[in-house]
Amino acid sequence: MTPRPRWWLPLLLAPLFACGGGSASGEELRREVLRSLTDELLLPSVEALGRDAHALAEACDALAAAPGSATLADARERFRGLRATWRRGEVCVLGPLEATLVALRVDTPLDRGALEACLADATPIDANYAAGLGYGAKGFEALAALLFEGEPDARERALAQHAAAELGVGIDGIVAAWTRAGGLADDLRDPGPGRAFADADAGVDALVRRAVVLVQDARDRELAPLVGGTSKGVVQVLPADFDRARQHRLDLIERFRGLRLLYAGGEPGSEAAEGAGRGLSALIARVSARSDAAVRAALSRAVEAMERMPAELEAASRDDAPELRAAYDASTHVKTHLGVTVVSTLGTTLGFALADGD
Amino acid sequence: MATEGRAAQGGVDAASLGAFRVLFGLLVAFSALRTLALGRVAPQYLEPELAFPYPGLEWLTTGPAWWTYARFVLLVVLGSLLALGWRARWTAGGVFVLFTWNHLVDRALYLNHYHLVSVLALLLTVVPADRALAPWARRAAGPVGAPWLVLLRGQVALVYLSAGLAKLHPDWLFEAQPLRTWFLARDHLPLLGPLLRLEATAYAASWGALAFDLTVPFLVLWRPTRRAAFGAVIGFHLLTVILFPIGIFPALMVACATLLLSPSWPRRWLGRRPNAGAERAGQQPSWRLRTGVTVWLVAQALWPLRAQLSAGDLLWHERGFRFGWRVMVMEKRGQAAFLVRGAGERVREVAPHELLTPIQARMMATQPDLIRSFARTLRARYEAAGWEDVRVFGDVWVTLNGAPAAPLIDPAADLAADEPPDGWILPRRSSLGAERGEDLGQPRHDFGALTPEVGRLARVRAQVEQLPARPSGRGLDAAGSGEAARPEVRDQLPGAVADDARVRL
Repeated sequence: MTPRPRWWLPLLLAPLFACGGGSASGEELRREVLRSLTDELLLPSVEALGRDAHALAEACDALAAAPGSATLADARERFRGLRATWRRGEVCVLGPLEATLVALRVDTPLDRGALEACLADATPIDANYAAGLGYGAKGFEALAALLFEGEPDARERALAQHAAAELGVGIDGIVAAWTRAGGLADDLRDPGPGRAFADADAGVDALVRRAVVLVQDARDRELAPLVGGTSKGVVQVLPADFDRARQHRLDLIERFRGLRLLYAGGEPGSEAAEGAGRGLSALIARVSARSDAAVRAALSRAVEAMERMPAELEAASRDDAPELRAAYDASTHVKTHLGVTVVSTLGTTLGFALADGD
Repeated sequence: MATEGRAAQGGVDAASLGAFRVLFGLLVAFSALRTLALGRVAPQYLEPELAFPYPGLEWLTTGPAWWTYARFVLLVVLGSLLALGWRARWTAGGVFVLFTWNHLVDRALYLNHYHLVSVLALLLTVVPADRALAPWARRAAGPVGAPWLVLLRGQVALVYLSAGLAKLHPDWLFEAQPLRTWFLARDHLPLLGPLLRLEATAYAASWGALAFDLTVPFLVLWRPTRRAAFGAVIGFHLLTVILFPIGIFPALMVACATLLLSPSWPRRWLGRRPNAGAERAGQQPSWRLRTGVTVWLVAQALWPLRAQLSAGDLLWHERGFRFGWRVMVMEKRGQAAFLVRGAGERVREVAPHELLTPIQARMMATQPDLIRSFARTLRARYEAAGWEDVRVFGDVWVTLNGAPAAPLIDPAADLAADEPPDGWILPRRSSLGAERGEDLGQPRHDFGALTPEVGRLARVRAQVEQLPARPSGRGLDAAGSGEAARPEVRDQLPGAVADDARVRL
């Protein structure tokens, strides 16, 4: 008996081969996104952070050596530049504990008591003295207080000089963690066993979690006090010495810009951010264009809302300025979209079900 | 067809019933064994601090650990005995009681195929499925009344048809959701992966599955299409095994589909002569049996339709969703937070994971009736802790079938009230506006709108100015906010802003 030709078999298999060279798989796309984010966003941010930290240290050296309005203005400008880079690139602070610890230390909230005790102390300020201080008296916020709360005197300039140097050392730790061979950049670019991220899922997961933490922090710690918002049912209020350096609004703008960069993969209108983008957006858009559009819209609205906040935040808070509530609501919206829309969409991809679902 | 026509009027070969009983018993035993082996008993039954009982079944609890484990062990034993045909009706009754017990203790555990197992076990307590393939049976092998076969066939057909009707939903038809989402989550599979990435595949599968569910019972019943249709059943469910982690469901449905084959298929399959005589030898079934079967099937057909009595999107509000065979029609996830308020302006925000297991929290966050139950549980617990006039508000956001997150519950509704307020479940919001950058509503995670007296710093300050100083000790620091409030404000804040850190539920 002659077997009948299986004429239908090629027809059945044709689609498999026809679409074999088509779009990337989820795993390939995640790796592509991680590579793209690492090379075009995260690593450049970290390198800029190192450069800006050294520029600030040099400016503070100059201020200490030659006090004057020009050197003070330069130091302030360098500080604003570093702070903007830092806030935009905070998402880089992830993965290995060493980088996380360094970041937490340099961004410790201002310890006004420790700072004032240090300034009242008669001991000369040198590197050893500065090394013994807590970051509440020499971190970002302390440095802002030294540079922006009036004309710094000699002791304040000296402390600023050494605080900037310490800050540079701390940031160098982050830069090193990223740039060294086998460091975070390599781990994120090419995740796998034995690396900080065991696979692409873990890398994406770390970035998303970091983004959720950052938006939650901005909302609960930085925006809620402005509007009397609550955290865990508890109303938040402004500290007595709130934002004397006029840095708070700029910090918020840059944080949300950074989150938008991470999501879109580039600045709005740039090639990297076009279409589905090269950031996390690409992972969401392939599942749901509507969800991607919603997250992008929420992030853009948040950046705009932060930019619309008045410069005098404490006065605006006292006057119940609607721009503050709008900014707070926009941050809540971003938090919800990152926490629900993005996490759910990626969660479907990363882990299907907790039990046998039907 | 002719043989089956006669069979429908009188007796039929019991072979297919016997084969189904064997397959069903083995699947029950395997399912229970698998649950034990995967270590799911503790997280699903023993670890939950509270359960979501069905209304009227509050008395049904999982019981002590030994009894919970014993139920699964007994299911392994009873399922095996049912497969062997030993006292089949009694063992089926045991399976029904134990299996149903397991999935009725908590609404968060509901699955369509659990319900199907319970229904089939219940039917096997009356169907004489031990008249064939039952070496241990006490009753003699022989034909059975045709209505028994009609009963099980009708039940199986209703499952397929209801599943098909549930797919007549815009998400399924016009957006290929949730299959599009699920296919992309499985696009790493060899061979199938490239196909799963195509949008066209999701659409073809959506419409194909719809056509499959609505027609396959009839196509398997009809002799000319039987072979091809049953092949499609196997292929379809094999594909679901590959694509979706849905436990015994695919195997269960294939076992059910065997009921739609010729009543004598096991004899043919085993190489034995079809018992044609037996198919005609049965007694004319009683009118009671025929009436009972008819009533059961009509009730089963109507019961899933109760969901149509509720306006709005069923997948969103889920009123009448359960026990309706709406199989695999949604990918739904959510995030919920609750605010408990009591007299004296006591306020506390509660996260679901404080009281629920991960599975319960995930299920609760997307199902409004569970959300309300949880709110009422919170109310009861806080009242027991001494709070008065307790109200509970929810901030719940849900993403359904690839749509952006949208609010599920009215954040201003007291979810713990004795009667749920009108409109407490918000309608499903069209998400198309998101692409145009339109606002989709404001999340209320801070519940600021619900606590206007504490929602604005200016108001708090105004109150502070008007109120006499309070003794310190109930300030924000005590509430564990981690934020150092300005001392002069903190010490004088009205009770409205103070959490009660002593209450830990």
